[in-house]
Amino acid sequence: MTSDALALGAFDGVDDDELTRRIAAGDAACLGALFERHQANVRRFIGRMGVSADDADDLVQQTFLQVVTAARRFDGRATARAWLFGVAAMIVRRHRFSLARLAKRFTRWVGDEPAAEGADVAEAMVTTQECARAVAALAKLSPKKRAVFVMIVMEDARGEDVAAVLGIPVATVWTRLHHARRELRAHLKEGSS
Amino acid sequence: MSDRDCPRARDAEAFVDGRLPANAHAAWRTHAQSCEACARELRELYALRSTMHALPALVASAARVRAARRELEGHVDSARRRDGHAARRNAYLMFAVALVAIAAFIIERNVFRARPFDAPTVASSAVPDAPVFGVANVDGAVWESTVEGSVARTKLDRGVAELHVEHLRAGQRFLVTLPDGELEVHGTRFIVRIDEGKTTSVEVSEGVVALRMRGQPERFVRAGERWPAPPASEPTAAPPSSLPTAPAVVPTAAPTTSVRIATASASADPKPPVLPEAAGERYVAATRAFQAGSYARADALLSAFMRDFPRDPRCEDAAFLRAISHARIGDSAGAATLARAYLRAYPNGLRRREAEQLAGDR
Repeated sequence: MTSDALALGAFDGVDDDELTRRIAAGDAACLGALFERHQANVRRFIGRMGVSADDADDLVQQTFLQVVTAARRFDGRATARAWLFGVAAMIVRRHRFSLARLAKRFTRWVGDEPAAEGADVAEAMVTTQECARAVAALAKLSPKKRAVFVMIVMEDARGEDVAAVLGIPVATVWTRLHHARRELRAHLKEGSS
Repeated sequence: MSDRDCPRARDAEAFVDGRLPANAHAAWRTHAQSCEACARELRELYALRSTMHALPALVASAARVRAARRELEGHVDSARRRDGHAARRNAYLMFAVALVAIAAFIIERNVFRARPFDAPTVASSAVPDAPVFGVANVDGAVWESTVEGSVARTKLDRGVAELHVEHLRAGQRFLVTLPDGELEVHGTRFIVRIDEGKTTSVEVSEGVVALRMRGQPERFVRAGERWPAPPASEPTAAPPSSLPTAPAVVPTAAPTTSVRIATASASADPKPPVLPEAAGERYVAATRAFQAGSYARADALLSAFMRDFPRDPRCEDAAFLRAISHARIGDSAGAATLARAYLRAYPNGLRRREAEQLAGDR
């Protein structure tokens, strides 16, 4: 079974692209291998996208389940790692929409304002004053700018890969990144002054 | 902003992101070493990256990762099982649909189309010289078809049947034996209805049929005509007083809508047999003369008809009527000669027995 194959290191010589292609062909064992290699990257990316630690497990799971069907669309233009970030970004976006819907219903029901989006992130991550300011600044970015910033600056993805996985032109990636940096620096300066 | 101090500061991000070409990258690095504004911009970008990289990341324990992997594999396995069940269910469904379709096809072929035209009762391939024809059940028809040489005969006992006969070659004949008469056709399509042992209607959609009802003179029913006339319509011509009264033949307005018109076989000639109007008129004139008792005139007219239209299918009847005409005039020798000529020309003719009597062979 899958776990045995992983334990024996059956996929050591198989690169990520090949694993993804095998998953697309229906080889479920490769999904376990891809999960072992990239679950930490995906989990970190999801956390930096503002998802709480409580929800991160579910979203990592959903990301790799989505890979089973999305692997057929993997064309190798971007690296498998960047492509996984793209899938995770989509899962986070869905999660955020469903949370927003839930919060809206709840607010209507209790007649109160929803909590700020970055609040739970801060709760999970903040260890220092500087970190708190950084998390708050990151939380203020729009999801689109935040995804680009996290992928390129924090996860060291290539701009071309990000453009491919998000389905946008490369120039748009750099534009979003530029605005994200400018806003973050402004927020951080505001916080320190 | 720093780029107000130095226009090249705006390239700092491209430098950090590695977007500058190699030579521009090196040139910008050299420039930043001597430009305070660009150096400051570069420091701030690196500081931002360091700050963000320093943020704690979500990390799962090894046990949690193992559990998550098992959970993931469980999800995939159950999804596969669901897909497998769905695929099997779809396969069963498709199989059931196919069975129902086949059953419907068989029922439709055997119940609603008892005798389709595309399966003619007698095919020319089975008997080389036989006429090609088809008989289809329209409503409770019971029939039996036999072929002897070039003569095909269908005995229709009851019900409504639609018949189609391809154009007959020389010597070929197609006869329909009715409970109270007979029909002879020459490349045609028609419907016969028999109720309680009596022929109640004959409708012709193509060609012409010769209808010989017992105790009545022979009459022709042509394309678009129906025998007998509907009660409300007027007869087209009064029969001779010397002959028994017979229903008139009148044109039909349109083919019977309740009857399914079957398609002719692939080898069928789409055109009905060519019957020049002059031939029809000449033949009718001759038979009227015969029915009026003007046998000499009838003989002359029939002889001229046979000479002028030797390929006309009615020549057989004309030949026989000539022999009868001579017999009724009292010219037995002439009648015998003409009867023998008839038998030579039509060895399997409908009037074979009468001709043999006239010829003195019996």
